[in-house]
Amino acid sequence: MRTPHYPAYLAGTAPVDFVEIISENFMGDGGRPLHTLEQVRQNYPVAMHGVSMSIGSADGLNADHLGRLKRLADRIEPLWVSDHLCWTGIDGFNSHDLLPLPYTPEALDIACGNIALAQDLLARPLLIENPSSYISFADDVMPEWEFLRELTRRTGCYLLLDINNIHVSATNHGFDPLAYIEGIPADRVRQIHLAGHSEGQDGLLIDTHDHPVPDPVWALYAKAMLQLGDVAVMIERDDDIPPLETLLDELALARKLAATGESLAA
Amino acid sequence: MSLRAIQSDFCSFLRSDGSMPPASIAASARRGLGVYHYAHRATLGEALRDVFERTHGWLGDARFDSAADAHIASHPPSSWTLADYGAGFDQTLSALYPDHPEVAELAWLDWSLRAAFNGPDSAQLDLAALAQVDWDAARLVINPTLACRPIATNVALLWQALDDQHEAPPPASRLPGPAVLTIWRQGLTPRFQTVEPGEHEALMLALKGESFAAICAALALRLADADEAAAVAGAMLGRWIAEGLLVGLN
Repeated sequence: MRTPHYPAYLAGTAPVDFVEIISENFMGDGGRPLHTLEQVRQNYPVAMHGVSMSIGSADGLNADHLGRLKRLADRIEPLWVSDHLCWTGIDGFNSHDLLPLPYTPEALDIACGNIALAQDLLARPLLIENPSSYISFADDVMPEWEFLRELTRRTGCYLLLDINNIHVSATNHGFDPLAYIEGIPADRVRQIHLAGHSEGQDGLLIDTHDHPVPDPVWALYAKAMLQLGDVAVMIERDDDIPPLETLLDELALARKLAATGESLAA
Repeated sequence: MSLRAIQSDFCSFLRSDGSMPPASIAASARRGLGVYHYAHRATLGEALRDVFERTHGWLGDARFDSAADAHIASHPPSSWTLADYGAGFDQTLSALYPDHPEVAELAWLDWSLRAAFNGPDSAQLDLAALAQVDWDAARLVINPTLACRPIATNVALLWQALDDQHEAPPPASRLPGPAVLTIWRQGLTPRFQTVEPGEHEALMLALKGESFAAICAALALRLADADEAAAVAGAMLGRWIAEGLLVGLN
């Protein structure tokens, strides 16, 4: 839910099944953001998507963040609450970026512990989103999809599968995106993100969310939907926000591909 | 390496000039490090531009970005929320522009308006109950979003002109006497107003829980005339009610 589109959501005229918010944008004490959200909530179910939980931090979770997140969830009664497989900082420093984790047994233990704590406090399962990444760690001992599979098995959490992030990371790290999708426990995926990206000077793909969904991501999405079945899909745009109609055109294509399994790039 | 060591090492890299890659990153996978090094600073810079929009308009791109870089270099973010980044930017600007107090005052105004925008809600004052109030004993409940700061310049005029955008802002100038800038949110709309020291003192007394009678007594000391003080206090109270500064009575 982006500011230029608020009027359509407030009027209830946008033909969407739900809206997704960035949770942190509504975690203040009061004022217009919460007032707007409560009005929109009367028209649409709301999914809460966060960027600050830092489930992979060796420092553990932040009590103020969790308390405010719970207060918002109790107030909005969302479809679900999601955040990212990442960490944002340590030792009192916060990068405010979604930093990648080393895929090690220790990191898995810590992420599982943090997810379990958050789920207990929020009294609901979390959805964890796969990140896009530009580096990997020398200590990695398992692929990302195996790490995610273990997270769901050990904590009962669900997944928010970002198809663009799989494409970006697969391109940057040279793995097979279909192997990733086949390695994900399909029955744990509740939501999909579709977005665009940019290409850096050195050939790296950057998860900028400022472009339309490109053909390779549509093709991967179509193949994923053959495996995943009926899950919620959202078009994600964080910058260069286009008119709502443009995003609705992309949503219509997502619905068509989900229904037919047809791939643009096939 | 332990996860803590990897993460601590990576954060040190983010805060450095980026020339020494973290040891935990596979040598074959280091080309992406620059993405994170750049994104960290870019995110903080964008956060400052977002909150300090009028300050940015006043300084222009080059001076604002230079000040933002100085702030980022000396203020590593610690809060879980990016919304907190920018606290103290007015002090950074005050040090950078000691002869231009309007710059720091503009920054404080930008910051405080954002704080008021999503600050705590307050109940509506029950106007019908005002007739029954024992004003000698009454204690005033002030809007919880209120923020105050002594000012030396025409910052309120500058901010408004920068916000209007259809005319060039006037030159910065010193106010003829002491004044205080007040910011609060009426309903859903942040507001600001320059008030004289007497009204500021009255607000501070109300915030401390002093009675309305005590506020009137303080005004009388300033004005040296009880009748004038009563008239001023009445007018002030009426304005506070109309503008949403007074949100309750105890």
